[in-house]
Amino acid sequence: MNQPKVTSKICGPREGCAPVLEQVLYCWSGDLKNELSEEVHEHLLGCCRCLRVWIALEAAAELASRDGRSSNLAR
Amino acid sequence: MSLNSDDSRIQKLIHYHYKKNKHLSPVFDAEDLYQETWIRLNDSSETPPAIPAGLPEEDLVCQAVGHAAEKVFGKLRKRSQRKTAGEVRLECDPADCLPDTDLILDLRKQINDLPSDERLVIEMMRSGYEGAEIASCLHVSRMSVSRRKHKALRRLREVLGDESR
Repeated sequence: MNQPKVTSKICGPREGCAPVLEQVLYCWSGDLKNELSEEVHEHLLGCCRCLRVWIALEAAAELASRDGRSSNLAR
Repeated sequence: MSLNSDDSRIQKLIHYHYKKNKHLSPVFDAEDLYQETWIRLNDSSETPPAIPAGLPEEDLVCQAVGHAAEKVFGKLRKRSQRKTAGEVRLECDPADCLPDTDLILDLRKQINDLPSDERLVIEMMRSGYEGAEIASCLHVSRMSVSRRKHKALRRLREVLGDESR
């Protein structure tokens, strides 16, 4: 699949992305009761790099869930 | 939709959320709880959507990205609504937030490749179960649940690589 990579004006590594992505990962996993801290929320509103990762995680989970259903149905 | 008090699913949901969230008091928490409960009810009553035969992989990915973006922006929007209008807004173009397909497919593969015990813990957590509940269901210790979760997240972090640094 050769889709063009999406680029952004503010997609470069920003200070503070690492801890934000760590929280995003925990939030995605259902930890933190799906709540992000105020600082992380503020960061996400202005950082499409971190938003892209979060969206990628959610999309991947949906696809994996479909894969799981397909393989269960195939059994 | 009318509520039937005999509906055992609703009763179970009410009991579950009451026990789990009785510490909550602010009105926004109550709204969230109400919304989450209906989402769960809706999810639990629906049969999994059938995947149309022969639907191209690209379409599946696009569909998943659409759902994911809706979910992520929905959470941010809901959170922002708790502040006064104009105080918080998305500073980047949502179109710039679409992830690279390769990253999605790598993450999907990693999730599919997770050892079954780790994947089960992640899926249960994402479904809203807490560590203690998962431990009880799986007849393992809470420490074991926590270890499985951390192992799974470590594997996903490896896929994220530079993205997470």
